[in-house]
Amino acid sequence: MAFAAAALLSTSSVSAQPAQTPTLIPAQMHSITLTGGSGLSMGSAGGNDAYVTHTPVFIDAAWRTWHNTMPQWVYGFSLRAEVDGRTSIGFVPRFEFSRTVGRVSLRPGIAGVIFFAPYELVGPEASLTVDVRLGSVVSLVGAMALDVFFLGSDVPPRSAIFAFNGALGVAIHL
Amino acid sequence: MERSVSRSTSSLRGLVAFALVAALGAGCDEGRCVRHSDCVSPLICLATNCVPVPTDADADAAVDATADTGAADVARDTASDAAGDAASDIVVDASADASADAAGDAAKDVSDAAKDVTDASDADLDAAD
Repeated sequence: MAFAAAALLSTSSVSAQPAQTPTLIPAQMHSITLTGGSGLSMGSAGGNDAYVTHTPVFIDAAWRTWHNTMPQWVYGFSLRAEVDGRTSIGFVPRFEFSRTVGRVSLRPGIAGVIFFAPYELVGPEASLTVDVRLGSVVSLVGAMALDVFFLGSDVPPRSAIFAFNGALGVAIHL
Repeated sequence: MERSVSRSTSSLRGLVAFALVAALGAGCDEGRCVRHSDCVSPLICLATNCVPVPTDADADAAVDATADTGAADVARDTASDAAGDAASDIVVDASADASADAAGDAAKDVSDAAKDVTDASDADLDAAD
C-alpha cells in the first residue's frame, strides 16, 4: 500500500513537470538574399511572329520575412536591376509557400514584377526557389522564374513578352 | 564498352554546351527585339523588329515617291484641264461681285498656273514623241 502511494506520488510529480522539449518563442524571422540571373525572353506579336533572345542580366536584392509559428508562409519584396545593355530598376513584391526538408527549403511562389525606371514593364511572375542551408546564417539560393509582361512603356504594341529566367545567389538569415 | 559510354557522355556535354552558347548568343541580332529597350535609340520595337519611329516626314516621303512615278504625268494633264475650268469660273464670279481688279489678279494667277501645267504637259508629249 505504501509502495503504491509512493508510485502514485512519483507519477503525479513527473506529470506536473513540463516536458523537456524546446519551446518555440514566437518571433518574426527575416532573410536577405542577393542573386544574379538571366535567361531567355520571347516576344510575340501574334501569329508566327515571335523572337527569342536572352534576358538582360539582372541583380535581385530580396528581403523575405515569415513568422516562426507559420514558417510555411513567406512574403517580402525585391529590388531588381537590369545591368546588361541597359539600366533599369524594378520592384518585386512576392508571396511564397515554403517547405523544408532537412537543410533544403523549396519555395514555390508568385510575384508581381514592376520595372518603373527609366521605362515601365509590368507583369506577374511564378517562381520556384531552392534554399540550401550551409549553416545557421548562410544559405545558397537558386531560383527559376517564369514572367509574362504585357503592360508598360517597354512592351511593343499588340505584343507580350515571356521570360524564363534562372538566378543564383546567397541568402543571409537574420 | 567503356569507351563508347565516355564518347556518349562527351557528345551530351557538347550538345549542352552548344545549346547554352546558342541560347546566350540568340540576342546578337540587332535588328530583332522583344522590347523597345532592345533597340538602339531612336528605334522602337514593332512586331519583333527594330524600326524608326513613324513621323509626318514619312507621309511626305510617301507623297514624293508617288510624284516620281509615271502616274504624275497623267495627273498633271488632268490638272491642266481643271485649272482652265477654275480660271473661267473665277472670272465669272469676279464679274458678278464687281471686284474686277482682285478677280482679275486671281484669274491671272490661276491662268498662269494653268499655262505652266499645260506647258509641262506639252513638254511631256514632246518627250514622248
